[in-house]
Amino acid sequence: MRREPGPPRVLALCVPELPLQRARRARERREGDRPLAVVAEGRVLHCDADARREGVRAGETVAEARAACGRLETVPVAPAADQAALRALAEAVLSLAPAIEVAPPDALLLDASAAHLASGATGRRPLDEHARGEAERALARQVLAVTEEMGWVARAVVACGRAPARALASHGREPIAVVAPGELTRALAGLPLEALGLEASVAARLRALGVRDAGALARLPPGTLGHRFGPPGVRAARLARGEDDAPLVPYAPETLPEEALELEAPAESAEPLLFGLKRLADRVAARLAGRGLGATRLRLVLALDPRGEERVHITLAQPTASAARWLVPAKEHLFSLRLPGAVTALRLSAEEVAAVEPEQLAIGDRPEAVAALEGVLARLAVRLGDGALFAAEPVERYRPEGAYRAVPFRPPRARAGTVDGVVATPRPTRLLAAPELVVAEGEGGRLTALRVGGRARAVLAWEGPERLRGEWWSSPFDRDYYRVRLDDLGDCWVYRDGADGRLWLHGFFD
Amino acid sequence: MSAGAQHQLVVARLRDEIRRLERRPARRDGSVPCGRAEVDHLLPGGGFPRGALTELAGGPASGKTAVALALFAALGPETLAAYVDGRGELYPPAAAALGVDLARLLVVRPASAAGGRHEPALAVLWAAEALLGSGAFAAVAVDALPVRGLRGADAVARRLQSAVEKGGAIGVWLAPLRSGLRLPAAARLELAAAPGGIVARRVDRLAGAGGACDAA
Repeated sequence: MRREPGPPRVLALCVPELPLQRARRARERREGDRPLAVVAEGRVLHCDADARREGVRAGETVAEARAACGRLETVPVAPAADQAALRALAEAVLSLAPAIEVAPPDALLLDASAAHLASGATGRRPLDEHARGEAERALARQVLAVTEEMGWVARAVVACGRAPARALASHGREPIAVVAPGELTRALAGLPLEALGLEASVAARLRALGVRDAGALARLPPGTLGHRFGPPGVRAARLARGEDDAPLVPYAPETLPEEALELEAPAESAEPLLFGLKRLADRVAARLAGRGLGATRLRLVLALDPRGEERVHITLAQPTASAARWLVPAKEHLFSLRLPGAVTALRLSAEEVAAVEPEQLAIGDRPEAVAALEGVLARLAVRLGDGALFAAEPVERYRPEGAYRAVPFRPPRARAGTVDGVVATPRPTRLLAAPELVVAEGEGGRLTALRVGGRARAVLAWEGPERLRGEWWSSPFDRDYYRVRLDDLGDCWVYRDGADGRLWLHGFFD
Repeated sequence: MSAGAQHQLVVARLRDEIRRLERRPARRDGSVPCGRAEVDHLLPGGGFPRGALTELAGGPASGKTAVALALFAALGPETLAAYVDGRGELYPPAAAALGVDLARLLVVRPASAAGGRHEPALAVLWAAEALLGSGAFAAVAVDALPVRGLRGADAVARRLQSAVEKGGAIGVWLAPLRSGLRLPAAARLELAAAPGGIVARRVDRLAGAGGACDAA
């Protein structure tokens, strides 16, 4: 696509009153919830609708707020947690834009230059103004859908330049707005001076001069603000004129996602836990999906009343970012738990992840079989333990008992056509964990029978030896293996130990 | 950033929807030959019937495990198989040598990992029932432990039959000659090693068992 001159197209996603939303989002809504306010330095920063109805206002002191509303619940502002929440949201929308900047305290800035790709266009032909606007609007809808799924209410504005887009998103009313390049100055004109990032004192001085909004500031001749208002004044005037070429600073997540939820009331059965877990799973899954990842192992931590916690590890047969698929084994684990106390909170995190290809349904594909697989694996793991079920992976070792290792059962989507690990030499289908000592019986130097399990069995035929030796650096072994057909038993795998010459039964060709 | 990745959330949701709407039952008709003529020709329909149990009885080196693995290798390339390893003796390199895709073979060793919490024979039966009834595996072989003297063995056998009919898998019961469990199997073969292969003998067929074994 042709690169256009001027400021880049940016989608600004603003989460209004993010600290308040975060506090609400971290707990389940319940009947009789008290009005809530987020406070900082003794003053109300944000308050919810219930608090406002009772007369609480942002900016007043906590004492004043409590005087207006005795039931008011206050939570302190937590900038670090707010930033973490923003980063989590950025992960969830990561796949929707080539670059995303986390812009604290309440915004994400997405590169909207590739909006047409999100709506399925190829990008080979330049788009006209109308088509580009539609593509940007579609992108904004997608971003808001993911945001809503993550439990946030937000506004999205697409405009030229990061600061103008953000200013419009922060002070807009509509959930979605797309501002064409030629309309930016007019769109900005109605914004208050505070939307341009000016300090209150500078804004007050400008107002005293009759400059009441961004439009009035933009109309001032360039170069007249520097000596009176310094760099902030110049920056604000440029912003008011829609001049911002600064590139985005892309965010690259480094940690695996984790989400937490406080339960409405301590839960003593699995059903309310599942309800909360589903919400957490949706959020973690959205964050993984945004990064093109799927979980292969999850950790669920249940906080217990009054103290302590229970950890559950959920292993998945295939990497997936489908929360519904996680819930199948999660249910098995939850229903099998015997907890010493009620559960007060849940924390779900992805412990192991893998890249996932976009999923395609094929004719003959049975998606319900995948759920069935996850379900039965979870039931087996819960009852028998994780170590009881595995897939075998060949290992290049001469020592027979070390020629494979157990790995988690994660069948590939399709077989490549060849089978790995095929060995040319026949091997017994059963290998004894502890080889059994056998005694040879013979006549005139000829082997006639082997005494196995206290009973002599005639040797009908034998092949060998196949010499296997090695591992001199750790625990050396030296064995001559024979395939021996014994009367009334069948083909056995017997070796002569090079160390002492004794014979051992090691397996059966069953 | 690929367009496909951008739609992943939507696709995942659609898959869940489809899963709910399309409760297509697992394929449960016909039979699958294992490729060992001496066994296949004794089985109803010329192979191991889906949705039913087939019992292979024999000594420790009779060749019954090799028959089960040959059946796994004969399944389609996309299918999954499970082996309940009651004795913990299955040697996977041998399975690979017989053409089994190890990545698609689930091995379950109930006794070794149960940590002594469960009676091994019971744990094997429980795992077998869970796998046979899951509908996730095309074939499930069970290396069963002797259950002589086990209370409720008949009820267990009925539950196994019900599970295999529900899940539609091919159930292969590998048992010693005197296992103590009377299974309602579609067919019971006794196997023994012989020069150059195995000899198989059809010894029993219980009325009303299995059923879906006519079409090959």
